[in-house]
Amino acid sequence: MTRAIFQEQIFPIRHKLYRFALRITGNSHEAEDVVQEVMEKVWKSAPEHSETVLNWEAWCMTLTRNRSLDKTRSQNLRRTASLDGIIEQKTDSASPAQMAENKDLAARVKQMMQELPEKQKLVMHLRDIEELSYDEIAETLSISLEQVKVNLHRARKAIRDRMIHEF
Amino acid sequence: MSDFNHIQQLLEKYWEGETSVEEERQLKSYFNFGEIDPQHQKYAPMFQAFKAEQSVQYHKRHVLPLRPQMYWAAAASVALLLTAGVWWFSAAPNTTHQLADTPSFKQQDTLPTIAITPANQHKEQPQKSYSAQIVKPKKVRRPETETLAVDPEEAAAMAEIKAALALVSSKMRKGRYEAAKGAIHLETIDKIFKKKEG
Repeated sequence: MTRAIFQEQIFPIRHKLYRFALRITGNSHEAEDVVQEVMEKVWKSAPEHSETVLNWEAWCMTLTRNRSLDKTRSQNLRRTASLDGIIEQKTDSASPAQMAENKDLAARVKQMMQELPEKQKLVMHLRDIEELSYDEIAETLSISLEQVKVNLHRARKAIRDRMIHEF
Repeated sequence: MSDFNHIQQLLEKYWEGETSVEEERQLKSYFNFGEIDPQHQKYAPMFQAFKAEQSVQYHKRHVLPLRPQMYWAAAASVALLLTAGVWWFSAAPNTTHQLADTPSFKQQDTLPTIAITPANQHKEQPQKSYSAQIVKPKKVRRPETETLAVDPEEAAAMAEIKAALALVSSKMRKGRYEAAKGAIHLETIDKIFKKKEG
């Protein structure tokens, strides 16, 4: 890993890695630790490795996913995500009461996403929050393109159904 | 109305997982910054949650460790510094000798000597403390070839250090004395209480 690659390609995606780790672990401290560990691993990687990696972002996302899952499994953490700093909104026309309600509902949507099956949750996060292409999602999660589409469809449908029934 | 239809179409595509990233951005923009149609209101929290989560940032500062190849560089730097240090210290005495041979040093033919005496031996200083005094001896003519045995500044510094140590020592002695006095005082109080109880 050269310093130039690290500064130009790895360091700028730290927020994305953190959000992804936070989605999986559901804990901001653990997510921070995961990002730190991933950054260290990439930084220490052999210079020859730089030539073999084509997509640094996808590679880092995969490392983040694996490390987060390891952490979650090892500590048996199957908890829902904290909502630290997530819900800060918006809107020009909404009244304070409406804004408070939106904030509450957005928090509930986040909770619903967190409760999705693992693969659906990660596919939806990578698409709807990180705005990755289907190909990038497939590469990051090491699944087929078809599985990406199926999981995304199921995840969105599950959230929509819950919103219709609960809101 | 056309906006409503457009958004409605995008939403239907979205639920099927057929929207592009750009079309999904349009939906996020509509639900976060646009006039939301009441029929769409129930989906707003989801797109608002997406938008809010996109702004979550990682704030921890990184301390990246040295990489294996950098350990060699660090070791080499330390070795270089050590070598430079050894060279400097080994060169230092030679420099002193050279200084001693310079005319300005040779001209100084007297040296102060140091005598540390307990101050209470002097009548004008009755308190219990020690101090260093620099006593100037009679002028002695030294041969031109003789180098300086002691640097006058060093001698003065030494005297000050000794004086400071003597002062610390006297304070410690005084502290011990005060502590013993306190203990006797406590014993006396204890005896008084015992008497009263008896």
